[in-house]
Amino acid sequence: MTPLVAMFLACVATPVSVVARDPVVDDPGGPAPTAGDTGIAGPGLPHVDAPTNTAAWTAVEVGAALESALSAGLPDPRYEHDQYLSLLSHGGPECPGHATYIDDRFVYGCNAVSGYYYSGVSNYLSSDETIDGARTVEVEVNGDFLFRDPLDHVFEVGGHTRIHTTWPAGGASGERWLEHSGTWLWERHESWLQGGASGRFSMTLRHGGDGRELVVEGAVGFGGVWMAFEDMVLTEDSCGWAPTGVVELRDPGGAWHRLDFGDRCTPCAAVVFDGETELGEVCVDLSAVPHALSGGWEDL
Amino acid sequence: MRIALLLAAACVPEPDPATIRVPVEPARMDTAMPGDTAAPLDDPAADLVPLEGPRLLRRVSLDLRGTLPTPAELDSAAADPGVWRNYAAQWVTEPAFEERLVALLAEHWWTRIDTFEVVRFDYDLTYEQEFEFDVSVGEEPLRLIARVVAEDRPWSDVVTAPHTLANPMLADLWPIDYPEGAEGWQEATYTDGRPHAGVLSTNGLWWRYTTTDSNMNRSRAAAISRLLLCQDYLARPITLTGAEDVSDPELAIRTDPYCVACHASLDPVAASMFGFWWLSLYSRIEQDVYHPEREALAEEFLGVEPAWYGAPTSGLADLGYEISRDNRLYACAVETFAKLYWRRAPDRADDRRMESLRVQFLEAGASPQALILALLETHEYQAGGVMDGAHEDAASRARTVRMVSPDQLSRTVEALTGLVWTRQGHEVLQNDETGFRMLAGGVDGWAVTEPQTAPSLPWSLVMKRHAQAAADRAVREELERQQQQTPDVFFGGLALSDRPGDAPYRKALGDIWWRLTATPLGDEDRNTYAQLWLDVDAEDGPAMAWRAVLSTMMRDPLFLTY
Repeated sequence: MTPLVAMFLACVATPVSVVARDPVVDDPGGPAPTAGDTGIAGPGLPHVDAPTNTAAWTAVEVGAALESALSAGLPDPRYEHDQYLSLLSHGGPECPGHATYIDDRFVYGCNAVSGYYYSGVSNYLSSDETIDGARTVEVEVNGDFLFRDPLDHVFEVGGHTRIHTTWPAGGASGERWLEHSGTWLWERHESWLQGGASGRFSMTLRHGGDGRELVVEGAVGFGGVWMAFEDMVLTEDSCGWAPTGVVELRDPGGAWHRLDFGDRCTPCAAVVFDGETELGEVCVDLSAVPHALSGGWEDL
Repeated sequence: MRIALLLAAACVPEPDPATIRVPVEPARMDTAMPGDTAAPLDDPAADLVPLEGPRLLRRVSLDLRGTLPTPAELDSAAADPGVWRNYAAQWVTEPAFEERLVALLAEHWWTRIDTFEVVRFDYDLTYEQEFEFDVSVGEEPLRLIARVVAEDRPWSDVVTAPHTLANPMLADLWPIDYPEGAEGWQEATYTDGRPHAGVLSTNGLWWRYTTTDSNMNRSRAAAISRLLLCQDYLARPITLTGAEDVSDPELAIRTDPYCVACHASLDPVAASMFGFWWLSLYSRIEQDVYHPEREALAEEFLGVEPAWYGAPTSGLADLGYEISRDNRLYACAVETFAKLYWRRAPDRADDRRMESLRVQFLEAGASPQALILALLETHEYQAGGVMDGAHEDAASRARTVRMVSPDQLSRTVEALTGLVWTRQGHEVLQNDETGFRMLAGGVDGWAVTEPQTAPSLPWSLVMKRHAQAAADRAVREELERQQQQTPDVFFGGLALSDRPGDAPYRKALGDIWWRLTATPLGDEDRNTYAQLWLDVDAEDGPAMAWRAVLSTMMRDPLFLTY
């Protein structure tokens, strides 16, 4: 301790002299505590109005919002993956230095000769294995990055995509699992990615006994519409792409509308608002969702 | 060396540096609580002696405004020791109160950190804009709370307000509907579909208290408990038998009794905040906005439905509402403000006092200003010393001397001299990236979460440099340039030709000391300063002599404590 600090320590006390004054009352008033120190008794709490949930949509509007939102299908992790590689293909050996990822040298960005700009960090994993005749192909993009084309269009990502395809031994048809996680934005896209697609959801594509089948799980938001899926299955042959399972849609007021299609292969479901109020039945056509994934079925 | 000698001469050494003992029997404070038949004889607070009028007014002014009283205000406190109450009632209505609250609340909320996961580069901001960016993000929740207090709205508004507080920078960076043509911090609303639940809906709070893919807002639920209920999950004892199967942590959380003890209440709160569940860290595009669709994922990933200690909730707005109906919110507000104004955490010996304050607080409609003004009336707040023979607890617990915080110091010096100590656009006493906030005794909310309570060598070095800069500016502006537009703060009527022995010199010296310390300048100190002035004048002239005197006064313990 320096002499200076020691001296300070020795004299931090404020000289106090006692002057005649009225006593300071420690507790300036109020009734006696009623329940010791439990903190649960005594005067009432301030009144606060309970949040009210009012349906912003009718059942018909819920159906229309759902159909409209899904008219171009769900965000496709294959498209996200392909755009990522496509944009990186405009880079060079100096910037960003790799054809499949951008490393932490360019967290703060670099400009490629082509006029493309790259910043952030990403990694790219891919594998193709065949074991006992069963083949598995996996690709995955992870990262937090921003690319910009020469026209200043932004491709920005915080999250990942995973695409996992398996073909069993013996030539049986395969299954493809696609996952989108986080937020993906591509300003040049004309649909879901244009304003950013957010969420965590997966789609499983397979050929079953009833033809092609698509299973959707998770939650996604884009274009100002937010929705969630609980084991929603769209089956081609036996159901004509009518859904089973549950779809939920959040209205602009923040309340959720639930459409439980059950397992009946019907395009119609009751719309239940906020978990308890039935608004009526609505029928929806969700066939655009599997159709938008046309390329995804090709090699299964 | 001269400064060290002066410091030594400027104070009276005490055997116990932590507290002051008064060797006479003072007028005892009334410690009786309503409903008591007799005051507790062993109440440590009974042994506290209050500050004198001017010094108490100085404490109140620094706590409510962050600046010193004017000489006129000090004079009135010398004439009427109780006048501080009138000033306090007035000061809580002034803008400076809200500004001071922001800094004070940062000691509890810890959001004024220097670096967030998303940085200024993510917005193409310049280095010179970095300080404003970090301060703006960290202050968003603090501004909301401070506004509630400044407008004396019910404390429940902290978790139910249908808006946030934003400035133009935040409005430019985030999806916020900021009033057109407005300036500064204004009430504004997010436009990304997030429910409004006061401070719980602010980006600033959740940028400070982040989460991960697997943590799923649990750390945030714990933060809510610590900040709003004063109940810290991390302080709970955890005993593991070693037999727990933690190969699947999520399963253990739901089934192991030791885990369930906390997670049964923690996880349902976490489930209410899934719109803030980011799926990539360090990502602007993820952290800027609320993600409404993820509200639907809580039950699937956490395995529980959203609730607040057993009361089901349907999301963030509901969560704020349920918290506002919880008695613990108000008990914690009392505890929090007591800690901030007493400069020590209340302990078990304060339980009765806390309960009484809670009752008053609620009877006043959960008025935060009523609570703060009640706290200013307490022994602990006004304590300036302890009596000889005082209860040992009183001597060890009471903060009879408080260190001026970096915020108080910078506000005070700016008000007195106009000095704002900056470096490359960063306020030196308000950050630790390029500045010395922690070294100056402050809280950064990350590495340091409690204000410094005793001087240190780094602290003294910061104080020295700051005092020198402040004195230089004051002398330059007031004595050397004689700028007419600069109001005389220190040297009214003084000329550089005035010397010790001249009446203007004598008056200026006494007035400066009175203004800086709220105590009269004694003869011994006066002589010491005169000698210092003469020594420096002989070598460097009168302007430098005044710089030496003023900078020394601004390093005096009576200036740097309150």
